Amino acid sequence: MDIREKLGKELIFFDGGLGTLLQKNGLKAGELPELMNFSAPEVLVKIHADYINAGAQIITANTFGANRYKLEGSGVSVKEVAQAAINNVKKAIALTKKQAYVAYDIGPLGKMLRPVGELSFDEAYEAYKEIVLAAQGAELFALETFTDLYEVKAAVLAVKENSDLPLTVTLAFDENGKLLTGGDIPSAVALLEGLGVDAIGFNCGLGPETMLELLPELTSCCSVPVVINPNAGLPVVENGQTVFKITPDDFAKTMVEIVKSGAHLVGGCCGTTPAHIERTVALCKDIKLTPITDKGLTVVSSYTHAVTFGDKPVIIGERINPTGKARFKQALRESDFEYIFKEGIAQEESGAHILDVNVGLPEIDEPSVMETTVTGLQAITDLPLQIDTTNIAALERAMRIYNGKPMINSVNAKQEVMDAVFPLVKKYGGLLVCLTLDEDGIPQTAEGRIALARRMINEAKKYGIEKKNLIVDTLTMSVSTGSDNAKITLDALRGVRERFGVNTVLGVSNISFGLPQRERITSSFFTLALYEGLSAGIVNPMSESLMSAYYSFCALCEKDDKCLSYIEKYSGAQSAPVAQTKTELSLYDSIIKGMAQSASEATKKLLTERESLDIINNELIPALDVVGKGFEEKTLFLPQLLMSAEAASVAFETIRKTLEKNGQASEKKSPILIATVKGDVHDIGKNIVKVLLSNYGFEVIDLGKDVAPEKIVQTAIDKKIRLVALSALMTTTVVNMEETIKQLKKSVPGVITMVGGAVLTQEYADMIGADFYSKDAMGAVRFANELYEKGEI
Amino acid sequence: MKVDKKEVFRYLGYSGREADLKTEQLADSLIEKLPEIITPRFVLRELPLTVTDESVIIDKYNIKSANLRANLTGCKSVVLFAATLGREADTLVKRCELTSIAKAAVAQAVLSAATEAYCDEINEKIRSEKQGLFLRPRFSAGYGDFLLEYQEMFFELLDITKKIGVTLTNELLMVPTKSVTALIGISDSQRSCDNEKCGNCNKKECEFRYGY
Repeated sequence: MDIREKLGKELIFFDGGLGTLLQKNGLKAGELPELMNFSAPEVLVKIHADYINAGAQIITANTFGANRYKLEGSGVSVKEVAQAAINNVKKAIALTKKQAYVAYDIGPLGKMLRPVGELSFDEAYEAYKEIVLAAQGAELFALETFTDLYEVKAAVLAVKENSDLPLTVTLAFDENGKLLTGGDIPSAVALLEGLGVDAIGFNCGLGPETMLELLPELTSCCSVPVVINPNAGLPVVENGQTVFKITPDDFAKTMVEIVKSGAHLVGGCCGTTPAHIERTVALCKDIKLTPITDKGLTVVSSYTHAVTFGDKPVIIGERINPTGKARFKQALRESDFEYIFKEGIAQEESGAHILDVNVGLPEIDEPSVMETTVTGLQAITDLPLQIDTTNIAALERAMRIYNGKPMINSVNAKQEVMDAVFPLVKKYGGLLVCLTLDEDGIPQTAEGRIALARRMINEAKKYGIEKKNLIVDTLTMSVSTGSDNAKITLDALRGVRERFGVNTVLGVSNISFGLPQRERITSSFFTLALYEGLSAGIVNPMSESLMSAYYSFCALCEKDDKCLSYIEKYSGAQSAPVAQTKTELSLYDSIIKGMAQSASEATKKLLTERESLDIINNELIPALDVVGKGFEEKTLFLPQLLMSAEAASVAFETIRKTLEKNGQASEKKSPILIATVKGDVHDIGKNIVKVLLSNYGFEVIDLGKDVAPEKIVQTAIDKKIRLVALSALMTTTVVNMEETIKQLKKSVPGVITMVGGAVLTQEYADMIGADFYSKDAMGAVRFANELYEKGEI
Repeated sequence: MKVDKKEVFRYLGYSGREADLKTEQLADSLIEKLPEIITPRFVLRELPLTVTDESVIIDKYNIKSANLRANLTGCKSVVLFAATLGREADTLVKRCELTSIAKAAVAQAVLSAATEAYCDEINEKIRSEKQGLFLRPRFSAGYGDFLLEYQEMFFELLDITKKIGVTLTNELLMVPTKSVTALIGISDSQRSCDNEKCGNCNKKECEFRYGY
């Protein structure tokens, strides 16, 4: 009988700890436990058999760490371990003549995924795929002890795409209900339910008492069977040995409470023994199981937290979108991702809960740009993202590599679109925005739009996508083109909410298209829509009037307890602008003092009087030189140097904008390639050098950190680079710097290399063949300037 | 943890000189927000130790390092520990780099000082549990001739990746980057010549060196 038929209907018992028992049987610290499948199969068969005799129904094979990274150099393959381990379980089942399921145990790879670590999502996926394909003969997969939601996503996808077997996922939370990578329980549940796993729960890290305390947080949001496999308490070191102290009887007594509180599968982890399981089975087997109920939550998540719809309205920031924004389009064409990421941070700081991400431009490779944008944003913000595209390839790529359960913008009632989008949502999970339009366009009546919402809800059902994962957009049309446009949208909004009980979303700002002072109308419409029960608005969170409409609505309509959010937001704010008394600084002084705001104002003023080149050569550069000299003479220090650099950047940007407005292009000096070498992840030094070089007018091509020599060489060739700047922090990565220089000298004749980084010295730089060593950022600028003046670059 | 502002400025290259007001304010505001941002974690383990004429033996590792030997001579046991401020520390610097590179540099220094402060806290915790015994200055792989390759020993003996979420890259760098591994010798006798900071490092011209 497939275990899926029993899940949630009867209490199922997992086995208990394995590693701790293997240690008692001769496994030494640091040895791979998986090798005992070969060296001591009799020990494993005995332990498995003892668990079966204790009443365990799921027996996990000894494969937790059997992945390509941990087995490297062990002399055995993933496949060999898998087969030996599964055989040991099967032998134990045969020996006991009892029934048990063979679970294939999968644990973390032991490597951190990007952006924090070095492993790519696809590499992690491939490693897990190898494991899944090796697990012939297993009856289910048990993914255990994960602490990173991104890694568990790669593992779950590998199981789902390469096997039909059921899978349970248990995570190792700390006593505060947080994973090592920051994820909380609701975010884990959102992701895993979205991916369609068969059971979710806790294992390892904690004893049964603490898991019991965390259990309500899990059961309140989880709509699939719950697994709880605790340790036998917290580890204690006695005479150099790690021991777990909770007795089988005490363990089982808490497990009774755990089952009564909603667990459907129970067993043990580190320190638990067949005795713990036997006692647990004895005390728990007759307890009535908590039925599984759909919690009906509409939720999206990031790698740290979930955002739930339906109670307090949600703000979705709309700014990451090229529509109607020349500067944004330019950023996309030039792969200026920093510009896009800054938009993300600014919206987060303005109060957005979710960020819409639209990078659609006909001339770019959208799947690739979407991937870079999504992963880059997730490196700097933990807000959930709304993937906004009509390009299905870009959508799938983004849903796959997104760390969490995304919001998807959007599907509509066109059959072709539904056929393409619904399968992706079923596979990866997600909350899907449903636009009420179809092949015939947007219905002109509320009833028409409600009918389309019904069509999409019904079609989604065919795929097994529940209503809670749909959010209906009844479409905002400009009130200037039809006086009943607002009413139709709002009537439809109320209609779908009342009839179908679905959540709703609107792109709000369309309402004022074609009207003057748009924010006035937009804010009022936003308030009306919120009053009609709008769950989320796609808005510009930097718009003061929209956000004040939002905070006011929440305070007025019981969405803001004691008006605390409103007070926090506005108590410090001035109710009216106050005349500012300040002395005006010259551009030169603004840069020396590192005042960005006044540098911008001074530049604007100067531009009305003098030519831009005059300003640059006689104000900006002299000021930067003074600061640079001060830095070298140690009369001022790095933060001051950088504040001045920022002020200068602002001034340059002001000049550039003016030049562009007048149809002139700003002149740039020769391009310099800059990168942190392969294997090195410390790149702040490189980023500082980049800012300073840009200040002095160089075009800087930044390849980022952990860059392979081949990529540096290729870019140097493609962009005709004369000067390459490389950074490395550690002795272990300087070898890669040396290799990069070697390859550059070979393939790019005449190229000049300059190096820097904590571990480097002049001597070291000479040894690896670098042309120039700089001990600090200013030295790099001086060198580049010298080369430029000599005409060498 | 108590972040030492003097340390922050030392990392920023002030070499004992007074910081300017703007930098000081930037450091203050970051230090104040730090508790909400970072999630410090640590793991430690005490192991018996043998110091022979030529090496230091910890568990199965036979370490040939004169500097480490000098540090641990006279100790019967050693406490290995690993500490991290978590991934949020790295994210903070990345975010700052996008909005203000000056703030990023100060954040980097504040986080480095916070990492040291956290290690000091762990040091004190060990000291308080070792009443009547004496602690040697903490020593990390990569100091003097104690090879960086011994990072792998720390990772194995402490199970660092599972316990506190720090991983070791192929180039032996730790990620998240604001992480430390170190060992502390436990001795029943005090030595007077234990140089707490920088004393074992040969990079005499280093601008970050103590005792400027």
